[in-house]
Order: sequence, then structure tokens, then C-alpha cells
Amino acid sequence: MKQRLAVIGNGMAGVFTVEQILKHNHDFEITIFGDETHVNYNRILLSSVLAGEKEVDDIVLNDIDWYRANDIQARLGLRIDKIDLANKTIHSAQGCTTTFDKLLIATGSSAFRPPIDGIDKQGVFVFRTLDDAKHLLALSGTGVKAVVIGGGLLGLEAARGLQLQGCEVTVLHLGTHLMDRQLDFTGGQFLKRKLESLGITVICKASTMAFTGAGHVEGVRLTDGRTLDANLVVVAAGIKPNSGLARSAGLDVNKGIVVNEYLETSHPDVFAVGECTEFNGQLFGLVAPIWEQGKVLAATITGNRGPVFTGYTPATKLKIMGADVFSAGDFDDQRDGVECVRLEDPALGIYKKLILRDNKLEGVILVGDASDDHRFMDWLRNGTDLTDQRRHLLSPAAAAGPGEDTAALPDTHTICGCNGVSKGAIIEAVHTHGVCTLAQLKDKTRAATGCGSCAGLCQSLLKAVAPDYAEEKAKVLCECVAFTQDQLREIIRSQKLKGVQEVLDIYGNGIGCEVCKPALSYLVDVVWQGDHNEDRSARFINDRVHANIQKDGTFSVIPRMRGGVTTPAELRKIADVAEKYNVPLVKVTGSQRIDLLGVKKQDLPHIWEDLGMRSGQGYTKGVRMVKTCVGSTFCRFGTQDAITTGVELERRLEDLFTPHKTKLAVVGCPRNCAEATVKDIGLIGQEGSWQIVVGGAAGKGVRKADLLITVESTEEALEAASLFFQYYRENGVYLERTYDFVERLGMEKVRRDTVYATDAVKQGLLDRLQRSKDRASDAWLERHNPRPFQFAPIEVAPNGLVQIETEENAHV
Amino acid sequence: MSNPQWVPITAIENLPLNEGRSLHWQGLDIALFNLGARVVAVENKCPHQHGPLVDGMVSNVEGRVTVTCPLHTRRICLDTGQIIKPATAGPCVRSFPAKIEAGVVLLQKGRSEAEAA
Ligand SMILES: Cc1cc2nc3c(=O)[nH]c(=O)nc-3n(C[C@H](O)[C@H](O)[C@H](O)COP(=O)(O)OP(=O)(O)OC[C@H]3O[C@@H](n4cnc5c(N)ncnc54)[C@H](O)[C@@H]3O)c2cc1C
Ligand code: HEM
Ligand code: SF4
Repeated sequence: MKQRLAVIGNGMAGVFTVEQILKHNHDFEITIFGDETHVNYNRILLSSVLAGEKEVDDIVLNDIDWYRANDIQARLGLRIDKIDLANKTIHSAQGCTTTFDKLLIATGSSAFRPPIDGIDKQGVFVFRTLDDAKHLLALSGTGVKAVVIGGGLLGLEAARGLQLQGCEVTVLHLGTHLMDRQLDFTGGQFLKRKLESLGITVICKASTMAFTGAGHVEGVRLTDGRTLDANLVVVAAGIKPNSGLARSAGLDVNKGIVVNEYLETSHPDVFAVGECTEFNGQLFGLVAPIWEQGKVLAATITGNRGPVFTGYTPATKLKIMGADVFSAGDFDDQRDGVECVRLEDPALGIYKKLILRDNKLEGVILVGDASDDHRFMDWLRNGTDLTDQRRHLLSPAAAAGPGEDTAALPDTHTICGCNGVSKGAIIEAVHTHGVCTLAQLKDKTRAATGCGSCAGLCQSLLKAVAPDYAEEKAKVLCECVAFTQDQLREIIRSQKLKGVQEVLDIYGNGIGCEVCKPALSYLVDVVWQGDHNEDRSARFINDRVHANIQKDGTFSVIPRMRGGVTTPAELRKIADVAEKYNVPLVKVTGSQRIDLLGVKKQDLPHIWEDLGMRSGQGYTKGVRMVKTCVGSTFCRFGTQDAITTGVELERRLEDLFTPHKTKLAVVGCPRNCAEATVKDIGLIGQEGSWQIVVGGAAGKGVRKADLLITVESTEEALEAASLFFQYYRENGVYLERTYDFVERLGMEKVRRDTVYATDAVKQGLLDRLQRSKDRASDAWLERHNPRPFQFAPIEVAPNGLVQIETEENAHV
Repeated sequence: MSNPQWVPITAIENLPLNEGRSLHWQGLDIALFNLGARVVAVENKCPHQHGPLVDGMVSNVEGRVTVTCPLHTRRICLDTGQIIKPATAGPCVRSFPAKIEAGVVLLQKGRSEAEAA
């Protein structure tokens, strides 16, 4: 007959152990009891759910099909409140009784709720379960004042999540510095500064006395008399093991359920695993040691008693983008016989500290840059003798060639600390399962599915090993600054970086190149809606002199001619200028305007002055033109006023930058004379309404634009076009035309996020567009205030007299 | 051989950081770059198809400071004058001795570095 194995706790430890048991030969009939109603999910990623980076479905570890496929009974929503060891039964609060042959306790821990006056008020939460996260998400939003009690890992991740949801967040921390269990004072100070630069208020040495308010929380009172407003409170004051159930059953329990190196408890048929356990006086709060426990326990319980659990080296990583923290081992430098190696760079916010004894690493703290945590963890785990490495402990010699950094790692090296996946295991997955993408690797080995910080290392390993390595869709911008554009937007926003050089200094190689610098220039402009630090050295020459460089080094000048409408006076001026400056070629372009080609750089500002017209942005990734047809103004078929509408559209969007060039057109009827159906944005007039179409192209490839929406009034049409325009600016990848953009996102999503979005979202897009517009101006006005020798060559000063070029003595 | 003489060219303020500025000098077209710690002067002519290097972007190839020609993105090492990306064995750009002293950019009268070498 099969043995009945009952598992109490449907969490990360319990289910992982069951997975390990399934790998052994066993004859268990397994039932898992869990008081949460969800299937097993990745608790670590609750922070990402709160931050809006992950959906609930993304963090499921074992879906219901897994339980079925493995003949596991899942009793979800049942809380066990009694264990009867004499009769070998367990009892649920709902009144059912189950008999077991072997019992596995994996009840985890609970958030500690300190006895603060008013802690039961509505709006005061802890952060432990998916339900907690959902409640917090429901209540958070712009204008909400949130207070987080506790500046440890959990509290800070909760704070960042709430802040990303729009809350105004204050962290109250009792200790002298943040994460005081993992960081020394200096490290805590560096972290505090990082978080403050992200917009989170941090108050240390703050002791909470009471939560005030009638029914729902309204404030937090401190013992020093201060009171802070709060509509939402998260208490993250630590965790305590759920060991009460075992204690009342008569098992040996200290703080946690006492287990030996085989994960056996004081009763021969009862085992325990996870955060509810205590081993050698050690308690647990991270998954890495729990996985070790699970593997050992699976062996013990299936009759393969042998492997032992030996405790662990604590290692912590804070999962807040832009506030990297890593800490492992014992970082106390006051102990006898230890040496301390430190690096502090306040400008970059980087702090690193290594604690050594006899040339071996005992502890490490990294703040601001935790990119090489693996190296330190390895030294720590293996007790590596570092005598030969003393000269470059903090800055390793650069890898000689691509792939060498991963090649240098031993096969036993743990790549994914969360899930205990070694380099060898990854290579094996590549060879036996033909894994060639990160997604497949996650599926086969679980690597990079925990906190995700090893994803980069997994990628480079795959690249080196997998013959059919396929780059993930999310490509990094450039080798100079190896982040995806989405990450860069987030970095620029959250780190308040307003200039290209700052981004390159902090997140890149400090120099950049012609690929990344224009992209970064675009990103800082869009993120800060024009309120950025313009850096011309990061722009292509076209954007330094506002003209299009030609194959002979001369430039072309295309004045703006909104809607392709001009006047005799304007044409006369253009003719005069062309003659005065001996312009070699005058050409009517495909964009309904006139191009003066072959102009010398030093003539540019004079030509603009003589023309007195605006820049047509024919040289940049920005708004090119709005072509129009005659429309109802003169055309026999015209149903809408294409010219007035097109001119107005151009006026609203001109001078702005876009991920790639943006061409628009407005036509008065579906005969489409100005080809609106092959433009990035087109307005097509019909009887009593406008169709707005987007994503069209008539270049190397031809793509008919997709319908965004049909609206009645001209004002609505202009608004719909503006919504799409700003949405493309904010979400397009630099150098992505709208026709690729709409295909990547899908028109359903585009419509949902623009014309069908809530009023608040639409207003947000329009407001940000307006702010950018308010700060934008005609680039050619720079002629009045040129930069030193922007256009003309330097003239060598006669007799060694050197002048600084200023506005007054500029050659204009 | 004539005595090399350093000639003041312009105030360093006239060379924005990492941007090129052009200059006619000894019958040649020169591109000057202010790289922060130093200035470099090269002939303003890409060996590939004579693009104006002065209009290029300062960038890097594996840690070496380069300028990228605006016409066909050849990357030219500002220290050796060689096109290093795409790697070719073609001719180098001529470079000229340049330095900053008391906030003034100086060029040496006489020959280019290539000829002097
Ligand atoms: C927001 C957050 C972020 C975290 N980040 C990290 C991180 O970056 N890295 C890291 O290593 N760790 C992190 N952790 C910790 C990690 O999630 C835990 O170490 C891990 O989940 C512990 O697993 P466990 O199975 O012991 O406990 P749990 O996952 O809590 O599972 C215990 C389960 O048992 C259930 N249960 C308890 N009592 C009973 C009962 N009487 N009857 C029925 N069911 C019961 C509980 O409801 C729960 O579902 C984080 C935790 C949180 C909350
Ligand atoms: C480096 C290469 C190119 C340069 C410098 C260039 C430059 C320009 C400029 C400056 C204009 C705008 C004229 C104006 O604003 O009035 C223009 C328009 C246009 N270009 Fe290009 N172009 C290039 C490549 C291409 C290619 C490869 C195609 C097609 C495959 C193309 C198709 C068009 C079309 C169709 C227009 C007309 C705009 C319209 O009516 O939609 N161009 N080009
Ligand atoms: S598109 Fe229609 S309205 Fe416009 S010119 Fe052609 S026929 Fe006339």
C-alpha cells in the first residue's frame, strides 16, 4: 500500500521539496495543504508585482496542471490548526481530518506585527502574500501618502513598489541606518542617498508609537512627538517562523522547528523545511538555503538518507533597479585579525567593502554597483585564497575576449543563487535539451526565475555555449551602455539623469559612440519632456547644425512649408537666397516643399536669416511634414478642409523629436491624393467624419496604414493623432519607424493605450506632449545665439591674440 | 630643419568638449578635437571618401578614442590616425602636434607628425 505523505504549507519550500521527491523513486500519495487559495507562486517576485513589473500570472511556479499531472492532491484554502502525533492525523480549521504516514511541515513564516497602538486599523498592512500585494495595489495610486515601517530588504522593496504606483512614500526605520542587518553605517548612508534620489523619503532612528485615525489609518505618530500623514501603512518589521502548530503538537521547537542535518524533527515520521525551521540556532529568510534543505530532505524521506545540510552563508540582494545592494558573510571590520578593503565614490554613489582574514574573504558589501557579486560569492563559498588577486580585488582584470569571463568559471560555480543552478547544469541543459534562448533555459533549469539578477550571466553563458544561441527580443542599446532601451528610460527617469554623459558615466563606458549617443539624446529629451541637458557632442552633425549633410560635406536646407502651402513672397525669398548663395541645386521634394542643396556650412545661419522661415526638420528624427491635398478649399470632391487641418496638425507637432522620422498627411476625401494611407500618421476626410490611420509606409517596403479610430470633429481627429504621436514618442524604440512600432505592439494594444484609454491616461499623454512642445523651438533660431565656431572655421588669431567667441563677436 | 614653433590658435573655450572644430592651417583643412584632458589635431579628411571628420562624433572602439566619419561611419583612431573599424590596412589620417597651455590651444608650425616621424 502507498504511504500517505501530508505536506502542510503550499509555499516555496514545501512544493520545491515535493518536486525533489518526485525525482526520486517513491511510493507516496501526496496531499498538500495550503491556507492561501493560490497555487504555488514565487514569493520573491511579489515586489515586482507591486512595482507593476510583473503580472500575477507571471509569478506562478506550479500551475494546477502540474499538481494533476503528478497526482498530487492540492487542498487550497485549508488551514491546519492541529497535529495529532499519537493518531497521526492533522485537522483543519474547517473541521476535516486527514491521516498521514509521514508529515512534512513547511509553514514558512509570517510578517511580524509589533504591538503598536492602532496596528489593527484599516489601511495598515504587512507584505508577505499575494493577497497582501493585491490589497496594496488596490489602495495605492497617485496622491496616496504611504508610510513603510522598517528599512530592511522587504520594507525597501515595498516602498519602491508603492512609489512606482504613484504613492508619496516615507520609510521609517528604527535603526541608525538602512538594512542594518546587511550593511554597515556607510553602506546604509549610500543606500539612503540612492533611495532619496529615486524620490523616497527615509527617516532613520524613527520609533513608531501609534497609528492614528478613526477606523482607517490617517497618520503615524513617532515617540519623538512628530506625526506623519498616511493613508496607507506597510509594516515590514521582520518575520517570525510559523512554528506554533508544531509546538502544540509537542515537537521540539525553539524559535523555529528544530531540525537536524537530515531535516528530521524530534518525531521520526515528521520532517520540516523552509523558513519555519531552525538549524544549529540559525533561522532562514531567503530561498537559497531552503533549496539545499529541500534536496536533502527529499533524499532522507525517500529512504536515501545520506546527504546532509550544513547551514549557509547569508547573502542578500536588494531588487530595486538603480539601487543595487549586495551583502554576504560577516562584514564587521572591528573583529580581531580581519582586514578591510574599501572603495567609496560618493559622486557615483558606489560603495564597496571587503572583509578579509588570512587572504580569504569573510564578508562583502556592495552598494551602487553589484554587477560582480558572483565573483565575491564564489570566493566566499569556496574560501578561495586571494593572495594572488590582492592587486585587483575590487576591479578584476578585464576579460581578454568575449565569453572569457564565463569560460573562466568552474563548472561547479553557482550561476543562479536563488535556484541553485550551476554552470555545469546550464551547459548540460544546452547539450541535452538544445536550449538556446533564455526563456527555454528558464523553463528547463529554473535559472534566472528567482530574483532574476543572474539573467545577464546566463545570457553570456548561452552565447558562449549554445550553437543556435538566439538573442532575446529585448536587445541592449549598444555595447557602450548595455541596457535595453526600456531599462534606460527607467534608469533615466528614476535616477533623474538629465544628460547623455551622466548616463554613460554611471551605466556605460563613459565615452559612448555614434550608435548610443543619439539614442540617449533622444531618450533624455523625451523622458524629461525637453527639460534635459542638451549635449551637442552626443548628436549627429545634422542635429548640431540643423541641416542635412551631403556626400560632399555640404548641407541641404529645407524650410518648413506647413501643409505644402506657400506664397509668392516666400517663393521669391527662396529664389533670392538660392541666387545670393549660389545654391547648386533647388529641388521640389517628395514632401511638398523646397530643398536647397549643396550649401556650405558657414552659410547656413545667413541663409536662415535671409529666408526668415522655420526649420523643416528635414535632417532629423523628428516631425518632417504634413502633406495635404487641396481638400474642400478648391477640390470638387473635397469633403473636409484638408489644408487648414494639415497646417494646424503641423503647427501642433513641429519642432518635436520622434524615435525615427515621422511623416504625416491629411487628405480631404478617400481619393487620398496626398497619400495619407502610407504615412506614419494620416487623416482621411470623409462625409461628416475623419479616419485616423497610423503605421503606413511608402519606402523600401510599402505598408498600408492601420485604422486607429474614426471620429466626427476635426478637433477630435487632431487629438487622436496627437495621442498616437506622443505614445509613439514614449514607447517607440529609437530608430523604430511607426510601421514597425504598431506591428510590434499590435493595434489592439495601441488603441487601448491611446484612443480607448481612460481620460486620465489620455490627459497624461496630451499634457506631456504639451510640456515638450512648450520647451521646443525652431532650431534655426540658434542663428541668433550660435555656439563657438558652430558654423564657420576657426580663424587663427593674428599675432597670437586669442579671443573667446561670444555672441557679440560671433561670425553672423 | 627649422626650429619648431608653437603657435596659439584659439581659446580652449572655443572648442566644446568632444566636438570637432575646423581650421585652415598651413594650406590644409584641420579638424581639432577637445577630448577634455587633451586636444588632438588631424587632417579633416577621411581616408575612405574624404568625409569631413570635423563633423564626426567622438566615440570609442574597445577603449580607444575614435571619431566616426559622418558619411560612411568609418571609425578613425584619434591617436594613430588609422581606420580601425571596419579594420583595414588603408592609409592613415595625418595628425599634427597639438597642446593646451594656459587655456590656449597651440599647434606646431612646420610639419605634420606623420612627416616628422
Ligand atoms: C516581498 C518578498 C520578497 C522576498 N525577496 C526575496 C529575495 O529577493 N531573495 C530570497 O532569497 N528570498 C526572498 N524572500 C523570502 C522568500 O520568499 C522566502 O524565503 C520563501 O518564500 C520561504 O519559503 P517557505 O516555503 O518556507 O515559506 P512560504 O513561501 O511563506 O510558504 C509557506 C506557506 O505555508 C502556508 N501556511 C502556513 N501555515 C499554514 C497552516 N497552518 N496551514 C496551511 N498552510 C499554512 C502559508 O500560507 C504559505 O503559503 C522574499 C519574501 C517576500 C515576502
Ligand atoms: C540616407 C538616405 C536618405 C536621405 C538623406 C533622405 C533624405 C530625405 C529628405 C531630407 C526628405 C525630405 C524632404 C522634405 O522634407 O521635404 C526625404 C523625403 C523622402 N524620402 Fe528620403 N532620404 C533617404 C533615404 C530614403 C530612402 C532609402 C527612401 C525610400 C526607400 C526614401 C524615401 C523618401 C520619400 C518617399 C520621401 C518623400 C516624403 C513623402 O512624401 O512621404 N528616402 N528624404
Ligand atoms: S483627396 Fe479628395 S479632397 Fe483631396 S484633392 Fe484628392 S480628391 Fe480632392
